[in-house]
Amino acid sequence: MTCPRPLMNIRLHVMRALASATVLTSMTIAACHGALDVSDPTLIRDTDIANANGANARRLNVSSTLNQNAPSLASDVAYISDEWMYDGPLNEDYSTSSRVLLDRRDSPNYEIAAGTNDQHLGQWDQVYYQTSIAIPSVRAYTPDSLKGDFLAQLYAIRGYAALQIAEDICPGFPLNDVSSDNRPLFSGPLTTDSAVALASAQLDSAIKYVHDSTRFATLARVAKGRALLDQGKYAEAAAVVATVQTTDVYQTESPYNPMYVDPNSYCAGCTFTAVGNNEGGNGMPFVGAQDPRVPTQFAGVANADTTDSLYAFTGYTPGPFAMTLASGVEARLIEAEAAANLNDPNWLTILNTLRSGVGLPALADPGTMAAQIDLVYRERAFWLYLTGRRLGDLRRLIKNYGRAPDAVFPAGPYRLGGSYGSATSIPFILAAEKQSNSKITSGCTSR
Amino acid sequence: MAQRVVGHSWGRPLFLLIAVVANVLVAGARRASAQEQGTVASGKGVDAPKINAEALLARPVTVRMDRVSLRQALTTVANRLNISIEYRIELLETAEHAVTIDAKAQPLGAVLDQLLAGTALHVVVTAPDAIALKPGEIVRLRNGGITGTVTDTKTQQPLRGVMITLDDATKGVRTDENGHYRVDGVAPGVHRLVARFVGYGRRTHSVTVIDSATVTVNIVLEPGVNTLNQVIVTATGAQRYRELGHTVTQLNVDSLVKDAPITSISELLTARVPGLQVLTSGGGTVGGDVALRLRGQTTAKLDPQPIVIVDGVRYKNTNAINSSGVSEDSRPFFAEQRSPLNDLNVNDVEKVEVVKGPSASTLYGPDAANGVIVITTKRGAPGKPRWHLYTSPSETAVPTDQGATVGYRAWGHDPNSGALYRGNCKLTDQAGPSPSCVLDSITVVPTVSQQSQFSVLAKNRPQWHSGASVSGGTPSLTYLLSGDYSSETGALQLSRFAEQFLRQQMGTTSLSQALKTPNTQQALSLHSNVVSQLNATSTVSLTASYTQANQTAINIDNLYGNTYQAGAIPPGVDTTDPNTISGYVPTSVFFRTTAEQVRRLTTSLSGTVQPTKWLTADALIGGDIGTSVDRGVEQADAEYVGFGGQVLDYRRSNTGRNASAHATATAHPGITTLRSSVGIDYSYTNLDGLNSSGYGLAPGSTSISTATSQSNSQVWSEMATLGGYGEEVVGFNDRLFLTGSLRLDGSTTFGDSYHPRPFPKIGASWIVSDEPFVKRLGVPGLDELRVRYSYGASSRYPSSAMKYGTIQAFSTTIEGSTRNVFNRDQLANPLLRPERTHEAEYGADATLASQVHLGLTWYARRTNDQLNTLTVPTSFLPQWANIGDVTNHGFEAVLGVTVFETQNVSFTLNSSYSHTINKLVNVGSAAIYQDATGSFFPGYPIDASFGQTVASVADTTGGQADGIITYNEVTLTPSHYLGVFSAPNTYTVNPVASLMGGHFRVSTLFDGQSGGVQLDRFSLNCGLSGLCIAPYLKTTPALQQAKFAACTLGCYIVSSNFTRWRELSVTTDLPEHFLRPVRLSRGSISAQVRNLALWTNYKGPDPESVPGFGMVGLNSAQHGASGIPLARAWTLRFDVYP
Repeated sequence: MTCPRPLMNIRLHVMRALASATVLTSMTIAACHGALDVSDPTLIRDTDIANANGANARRLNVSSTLNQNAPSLASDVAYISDEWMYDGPLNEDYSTSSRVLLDRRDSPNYEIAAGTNDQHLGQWDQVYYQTSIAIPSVRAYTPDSLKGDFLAQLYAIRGYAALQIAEDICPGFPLNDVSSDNRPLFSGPLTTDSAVALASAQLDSAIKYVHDSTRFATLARVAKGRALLDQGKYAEAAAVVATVQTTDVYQTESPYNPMYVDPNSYCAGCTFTAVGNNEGGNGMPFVGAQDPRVPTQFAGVANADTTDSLYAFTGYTPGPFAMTLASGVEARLIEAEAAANLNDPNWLTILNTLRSGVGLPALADPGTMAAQIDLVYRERAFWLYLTGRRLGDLRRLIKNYGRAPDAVFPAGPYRLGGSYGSATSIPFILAAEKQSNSKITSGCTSR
Repeated sequence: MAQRVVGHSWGRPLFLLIAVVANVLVAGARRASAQEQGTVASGKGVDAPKINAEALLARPVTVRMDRVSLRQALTTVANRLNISIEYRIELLETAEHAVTIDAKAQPLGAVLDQLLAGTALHVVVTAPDAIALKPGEIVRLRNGGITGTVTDTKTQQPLRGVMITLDDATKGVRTDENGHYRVDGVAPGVHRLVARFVGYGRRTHSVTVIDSATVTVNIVLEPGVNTLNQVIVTATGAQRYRELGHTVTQLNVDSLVKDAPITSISELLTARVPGLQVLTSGGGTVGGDVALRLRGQTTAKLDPQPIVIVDGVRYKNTNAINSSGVSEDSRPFFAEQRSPLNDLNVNDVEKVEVVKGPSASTLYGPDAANGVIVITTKRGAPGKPRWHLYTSPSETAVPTDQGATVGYRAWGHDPNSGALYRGNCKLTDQAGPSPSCVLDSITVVPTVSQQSQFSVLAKNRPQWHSGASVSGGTPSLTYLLSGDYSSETGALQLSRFAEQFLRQQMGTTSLSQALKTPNTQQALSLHSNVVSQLNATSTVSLTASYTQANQTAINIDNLYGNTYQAGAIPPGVDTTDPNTISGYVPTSVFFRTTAEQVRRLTTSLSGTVQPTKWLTADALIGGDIGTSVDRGVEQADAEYVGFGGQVLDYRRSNTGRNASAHATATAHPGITTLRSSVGIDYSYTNLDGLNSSGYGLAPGSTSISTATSQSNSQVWSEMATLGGYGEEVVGFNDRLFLTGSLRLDGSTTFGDSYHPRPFPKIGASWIVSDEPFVKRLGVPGLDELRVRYSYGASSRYPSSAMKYGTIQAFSTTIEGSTRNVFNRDQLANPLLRPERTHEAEYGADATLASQVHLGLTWYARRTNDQLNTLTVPTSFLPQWANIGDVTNHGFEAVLGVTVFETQNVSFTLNSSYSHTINKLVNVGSAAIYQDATGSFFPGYPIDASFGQTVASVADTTGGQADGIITYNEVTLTPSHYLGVFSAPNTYTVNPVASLMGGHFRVSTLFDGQSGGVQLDRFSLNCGLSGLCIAPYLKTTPALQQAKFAACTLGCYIVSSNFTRWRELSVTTDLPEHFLRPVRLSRGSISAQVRNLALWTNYKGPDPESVPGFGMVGLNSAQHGASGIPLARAWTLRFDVYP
């Protein structure tokens, strides 16, 4: 050794001390977030809106989300059912068009084309879980004078979203949620019945909380009536909507109408969404009936065969849009269906009373139970055109009344080539769900 | 009491007496003799009577001791030479002090002089192998000095900026413009003089300074490729390359810039660093964005670029994402963005060091996982004011031979009505039982490349780069001031046709210059550095770089695709109305103008103190502050009549602040050397931006205030990081070095519940060739052989907003009125943590026969905890989470060969090769996709391309072959892997010739890439837009027709292999007789060409021109090269030194 040991020891001690001091200091400071605080003016934190105004803004966000999603999702229902039919140039590749695949009930290919985007289930679920964020806030900060109605609205929307998922989506779907501390809560696969039951419970809460608001009561009770119809509880369904006045209505608000189709947008070689007219043989004659409840206008000649005339629905305008989610008319239709099932002759009176209101002639009793049900559902189809009801109605005809799927859905040769598929629901997208929800491992248990 | 120190023998009393007498007699003669030699002298006399004292004192001795006692030093010397040194111990006790000496084969007399300096002892040779130390008067010696010139061994040119240090001091002096240095105040004795310079091997001289004399030591440095004695600036200070377990690439920018066609940092880095790819956004535009990929891509969602540190300050170098991870996307109309990397004037840079990957960059902290580019700017040198002036006028042009110059228009008529068919009558339109058209004729259509009324590419655009610098000072205060001004005009121009159209649309007789020439850039750069030597141990340095730039640009995405068919005039149609013309016209691109103003200041104040020889401490505070204003204007009616016009005004303010301190201590116990470093650093970045827009301008107005609709939005992010580290380097016999270090960071971007984990690093470097057993083997031609290994971990940080659950506020009409709504738009993640990359690197460096330098490096890397958004299929709001893993592996080789070398002529060949590839091994629950323009799919690279291609063709429709392939006659393959956009393989070849003793130099650079793919947009447009005649003719091969009929992008993903002749320069030093009359001390002139030629089978404009909505792709190398080709530039550069 050329260096005196004492000197070397001192130096090594100094070096060790420097190292230890620096590392300890940095670790201490690094662990202390106070030293590293930054302020972010763009962030609104939960604590910032923990007040009545914040709670109301969150409630309004639920309503806003519903307003945005409901009309576009009603379009999906219109395609897969007989409300809308699709037309376009024959040389176009339709294998990836979700509209075409829905229109011809081709759910396997619809699922492939969707990739990892589960729009229909996703958007309804978005409405559903937004209520989970808003309800605790409203419960905590909304003044008592408003709290009941606000909670009623939120529970009604929550139940409505769950009910719509149950009626639209094939069984096996999840109903994901958000916890009170904003963590995702993933659900396992649900059956249609279990989802209807879940929706029914939410709607019960809504009915319990409603205080003064007729609008919120209408939404809660009519949706509850639908749920009870789905469960085959006809008397209970009629009872729950009995207090809803025929003029009552709950509508969405939107600055534009996603379901508006301009009759003048038709051109040869273009795609066009037309009002269904006996689509697939089983479809309602929405055009041919020339019913004032489904007003139409000629647009052009179909590309598909150059003979069919295409019509656009003129009941909607392109500007600010209000879609009816629940109404006294639907309440009466629920009562009529319940009455028909209970052999109550009043069912026809209810339908004719509604028809007289728009100047339509009275209907005659077809005599048989099955025909009566057909008539009730024909009336529902026209009264509730383009409101997202038709798919649930067709599925109820299959489940509750034993109709064959191909007897109620459009079937046979498809107008743009090939044949209609066998789907009776909109599939949820397994590839999308599996990416984040480990509880979902298989797709639709039935289609 | 007398002490006698001997080696292996004891006692020679007789000689002692003789020596005392002889000392007196011979002292004067010896002093004179020594002074004549100029290197050995002493104030103490040494007498040698009959015995040969000269011989004894001239015996060489090698001894290295650091702060040992004088007694111990004398004992060591005696042992080494096997002699005795005798003295009275009480004399030595009075002179007891610590001494340091590093002498290699130095004369004994000189060694003793140095050891006894400052004592009252003098040397008496008492026997052939014995010396006595005798008391006498203390001789007060006066300090001397060392001076000299440092030159390049090959070019014989003086080297500026070489660091000269004395006796292992950390600080020293630098050579001036003429390669001169001077060290004053040197104590008499033997000193170790070390010359270090980037890109050159270290050279050490042992110098003996005599009383008050100045010794001249001229030093010749030899350039080398990764010469082991090179000095590297690491996170813990300067270290020799031989000590590092990882590879680092150094660029000697000062000499490169003078001799090569380089005008920006990005050009400097292009094809010069193995494993570093420089992606350009704008192709032949000026001021376009660039992006860097170092050893490939390791992150899927965060910025994959290496970080840049300028003079110790973290430097913002990317538009794609700021250091906090927030996308800035600040350019209106997706115009090409100016690269912040190029804000720094390359003429102000002295050297660049590229530190690759986490195994090397662990200690650099935030986001260092992609690698680090360490830039050191120039500093002054002592002496009179020295001026340097340069100017480099250039002419640039975009090679139009790299694309089609003509397109085609097929005329036909309606088979039923006979009317003119307004579309292009393609084969597919002619096919089937009901054809849309019947082909009549085909005409040639000019395109943007052709010199026609449609051309948007101008030739021979001017560029100017001019600058000056002055430096000088005293040994205690040096300064450097420099300035640079550049003016560049891009190749894009408004065509005559488009100009006419715009004038007509806007109802004006003249158009602004911004519309006519939409791509220009002017930049002013100022740089200053002042270094003050406060005292012998303390130095303070202040550096500042300021840039002010104005740039105009347009969106050149798909410029060719949009404008290529350019306009074919149907018969009988009004040719003044472009609306009647098929396809796009250049106005589709040019009717909007975008201008950007940039102001930027990067500054640092640093201090160094060396309280003892073994301890050095540094501290630095710095800032990188920039503002930009981007303004896009589309005047009313410019696009079409009735359009109200729009103005987009995007403003950004970036603030970066750094503070750091570190200390390094060294020790040399026995055969080991210890180097201990600790440090702490703090960094803060903030982005504050405002986007304003106005739609519906008043006619002729460009003011947002006149807009009928106005809106504003804010962009904001902020991050603060504090970290500390420690590192220990242990060296054994100066040939085996082991490194271990640890770093720990805290950051505001980590989740609140996440506890930071340390980042470790280990390394080993073994100079095998220095081992005695290797030397004994005597391997022919082996000069140096080093093997190395390094392992390290580093990170990439989340952005400031990723961890938060966020709530969006907006207003909407609800419940009958406009109301405020709060929507949760992001779920929080309290466990959010940085991406963590581990890398193991191993390799070898060798120098063979003094002519071949070889460096080989392999590495394997894995990045865990990839930051990505959780795919929430049911529209849960996106939540950032750490999911997925990416692996990289690669190989790099550098080879430098001195082919021949004489005194006047030399020829060297430098080349490199790199291979790197990444693979997504796990994507967690992130969304996967496979697309021709990019993918995210496990088992494949991050930027892989997938798509369908033609499997088979059968012209069978209708049971007969009609020569026309339609969609239903083509069978496509399933979508499959087509390749990776980032070329895995890159190579460079750089021959350099030096003539006339280095006064005439020729250098050229070839580089290329292979293994990658790009979208062949020309072939795609051939089918879509008529850039070729094939879509109209039945003679077109069936396979090509099948692509037109049935393919999407997949069929047009093709190899992007290329080799480019990147640079050629010829430089000559101006002769003195030419310079002297104009009072210039030195000067040179260089003729340079950039982008001379391109060899490729790729049919697109340029495989390197990859625009992507104004900025280079964030997460991949981009694709669909569709911009304009890289510009060819001819430059003359003049450098003079008054």
